[in-house]
Amino acid sequence: MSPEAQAQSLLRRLLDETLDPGYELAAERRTGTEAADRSSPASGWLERFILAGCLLLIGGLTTIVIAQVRSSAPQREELRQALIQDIAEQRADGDLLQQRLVEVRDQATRAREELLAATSQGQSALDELDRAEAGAGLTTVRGPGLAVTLTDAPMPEDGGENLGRILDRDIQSVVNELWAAGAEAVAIDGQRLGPTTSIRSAGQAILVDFRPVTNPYLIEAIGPANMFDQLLESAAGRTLASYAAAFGLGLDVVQVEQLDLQPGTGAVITRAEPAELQNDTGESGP
Amino acid sequence: MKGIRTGPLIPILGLAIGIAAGVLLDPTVPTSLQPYLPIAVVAALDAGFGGIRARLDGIFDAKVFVVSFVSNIIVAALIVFLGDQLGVGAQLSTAVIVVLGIRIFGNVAAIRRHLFRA
Repeated sequence: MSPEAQAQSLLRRLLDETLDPGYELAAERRTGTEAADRSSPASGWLERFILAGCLLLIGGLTTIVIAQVRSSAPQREELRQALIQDIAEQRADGDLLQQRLVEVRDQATRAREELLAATSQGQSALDELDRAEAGAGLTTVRGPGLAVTLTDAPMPEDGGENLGRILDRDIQSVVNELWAAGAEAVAIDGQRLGPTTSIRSAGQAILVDFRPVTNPYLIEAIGPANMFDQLLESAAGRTLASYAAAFGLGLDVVQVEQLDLQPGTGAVITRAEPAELQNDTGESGP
Repeated sequence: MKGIRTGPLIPILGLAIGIAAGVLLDPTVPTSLQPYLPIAVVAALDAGFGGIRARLDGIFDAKVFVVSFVSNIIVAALIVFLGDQLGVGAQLSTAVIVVLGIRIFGNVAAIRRHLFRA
């Protein structure tokens, strides 16, 4: 038999012989032996009860599975909604704590400034602190600058991979070019960057200091007027522009007269040592 | 045929009790068994429709029915189990459903021809 004929006969058998061949065989056996015992009522009753058992199983199994599937679908949706709500709540809590942190830090800063301003040594420490804080992105900075908006390309219609997605690397390269062009302060989606800020992906999300930022990504930078040209002529700027042309991602750079960048929250004091005290307060120290 | 003469009362009663038990008792299935149940149901339905058709054909045999019913369920569950172990559970389930689906379809068509002569 040729392979085609074999395949055809297999399909034909599948489509035609839908009845278990066992029935025919049993029927042939019966006509062969001309079974007289079939009329015995005992085996008839037994058979019928077994039959009833099988049908009971069919009915029971079917309803059980239907009930199972029905009850598990809404459960999954409920669970999903509960998780979404949890996320929203936790995020609101986090925002609240963040706000509280800024307030408390403000209080602490004011108290510290009052105390330090009382002495000349304290005043010089304060000046040093101001410089350090400005460098660490812990002060509000106002001034002219750039707003760079990076946007994911729209999803391809054929459902394929979106090559125009913004990656952590794209944001990193823009930020690096901005620092290199002399930016004093940079923020991503309103989140101020400090010296130890990380910009990296976790799965599909991009995290700045472990807080997610979302498309479109707005990078604001305060710095000299030539940042605009420097950014667009830099390697990173040219690469992104070519990506924008090839994959349709959005790259939009505008100069802004007045930017207002809020302080970051990043600094954690890991090392401190006491200053050499001069005896000009009269009452400090044992 | 004896079965046709005396009527299918007890088996149909069994079916009704099974459905009622499934609805009323609402039993929870152990998680380990859950993947096998849907395919077991399709296998059971195949055996059931096969039985009805054989009966209408006049060649019904309770022994053949019970054996095909039990073995259908066990083999279907076994195939899914084996497929899960081999990492092709979804594909094997699809294969089983396709074959059983074709058989159910053919048997129901035969039953329809018997009942409506069309």
